[in-house]
Amino acid sequence: MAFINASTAVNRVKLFIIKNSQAATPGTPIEADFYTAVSNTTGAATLTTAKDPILLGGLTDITINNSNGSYRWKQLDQSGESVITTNATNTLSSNFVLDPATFFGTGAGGGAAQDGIFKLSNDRIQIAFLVAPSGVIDDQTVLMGTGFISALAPTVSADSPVFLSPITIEVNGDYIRYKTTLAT
Amino acid sequence: MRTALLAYLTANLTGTIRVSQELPYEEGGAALNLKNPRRVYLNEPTTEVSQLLGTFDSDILEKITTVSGVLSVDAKQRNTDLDSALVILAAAKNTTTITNSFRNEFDYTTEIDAGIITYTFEYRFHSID
Repeated sequence: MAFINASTAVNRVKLFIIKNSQAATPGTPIEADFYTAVSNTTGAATLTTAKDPILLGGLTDITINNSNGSYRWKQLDQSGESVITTNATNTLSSNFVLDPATFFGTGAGGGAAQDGIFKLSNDRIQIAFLVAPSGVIDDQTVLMGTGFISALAPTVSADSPVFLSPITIEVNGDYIRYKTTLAT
Repeated sequence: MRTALLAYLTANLTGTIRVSQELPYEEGGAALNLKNPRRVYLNEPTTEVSQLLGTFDSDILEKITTVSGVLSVDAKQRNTDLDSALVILAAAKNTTTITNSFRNEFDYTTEIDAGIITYTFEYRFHSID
């Protein structure tokens, strides 16, 4: 049985975020909006500087939700209910360790990395994302889409002296499934 | 860590119980703390690194630096400032010159042998690595 390997250096899960308005085609992000090149040897991605992406580090887990709705009805000529799926609720949820640079941003008035995760959420700015379940080396399946950041709740405790926060991307519409091509 | 502890203890243990700058080695088959009672000896620090939080890219690691020490005093004739010396030993874990730890611990055990009571103590400093 094959499986999605997310444990090696080149296959680690990655989550890229840019402002939707900075995508080449807002609403339909492409791979090059997030990174221009990837090393197949190390798995490291060269970020697309012009789009100012955030590569969210310190992810402790990630859940890709694609929850279809359903409509059920009963017919007199059938013993069981009939069903059809309706529009899906798509969300991407994760927990991450806060890095001040990515959380609070590195500047102001620019792209996603300059604004930081908190401002993107607080200002309800539509984002475009790319989540790579097994890294972004060549020929890996990634999911892209647009949405809004929510559910931030940074927490620190005596036993866990680094800030940890959940994050949810409320996906706007469908996921875009794509095979990576920029790695060499 | 050892240097900071030595500096704090040297400045505060000024009664009959003092601090030695030497490591607690053995000389002529006898441990220094038994040969020189009423002297606090601190060992070289040891470190232990473990995972505090696992992440996909770089784990958050916890480093525990341990400094052990020893003090022997006469069990038959208790030093009058022994209690205050033990308070100072415990307070040394919070010396302000150790700044990067998020949890500081101190504990000790005692053992009496041949009229000598030996306090074996340990400082543990937890920090993010």
